[in-house]
Amino acid sequence: MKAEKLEVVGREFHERRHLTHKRMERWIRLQQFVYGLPEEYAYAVRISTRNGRTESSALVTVGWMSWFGRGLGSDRQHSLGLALLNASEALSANGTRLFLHNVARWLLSCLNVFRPRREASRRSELPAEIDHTDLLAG
Amino acid sequence: MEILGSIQGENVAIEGREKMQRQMRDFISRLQKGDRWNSGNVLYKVHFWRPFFGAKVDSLIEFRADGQEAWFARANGPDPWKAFCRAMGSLKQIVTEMEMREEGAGVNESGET
Repeated sequence: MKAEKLEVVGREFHERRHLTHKRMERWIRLQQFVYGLPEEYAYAVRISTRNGRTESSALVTVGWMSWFGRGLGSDRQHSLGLALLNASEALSANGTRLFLHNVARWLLSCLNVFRPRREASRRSELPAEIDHTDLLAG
Repeated sequence: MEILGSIQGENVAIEGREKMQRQMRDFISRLQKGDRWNSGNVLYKVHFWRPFFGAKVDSLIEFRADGQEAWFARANGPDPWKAFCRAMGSLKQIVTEMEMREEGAGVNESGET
């Protein structure tokens, strides 16, 4: 009963959250495709409405890269769009360096043809020895 | 204050529900101590599922506080606990980023707070 009550209170505010998840997912898939990032991803979004203004923060982590953006707008999607835009600007600032890094890696892989294939595939994965409980600290 | 929450799995066996619940309550109390959430009712939901393609488990964490605040995080990982840790780690990182920015905004040009 109480859960239903809370659901009704928050319905109007959260009605488009599926759209937000879909948007984030598409954005992440695009970055993975364009920059050849690994499959691991994580993102967090905060949307807050106070005094008629909506503020949002978005943190996106794909593989070894992480972006943070903030947005302030008249509604949720607008503020989230701004937060993502800020995050993608940070990405494009790093784009040239990342592109050169990828070219250098490709050249090295062409030169080093005798390297075992297993080791080459391992380089694109996150290290397995990451202790995930460390992420909960702080 | 009232906290209502659920942890659900879709074709995924979930172990360590108590640990997850403790982490969620710690996160809520941290935000309430920092006066970010003044609301009396907080609802959270943790959902795990396994996508059709790929061997990883996806996790989704959602918080709602009185319709004014929405926090959600999503991550994937090799098992539910690791996916949960990564999503929760992202949420905590957002809090840290916000605290750092607030501290930075509170410092004047001479470096005094």
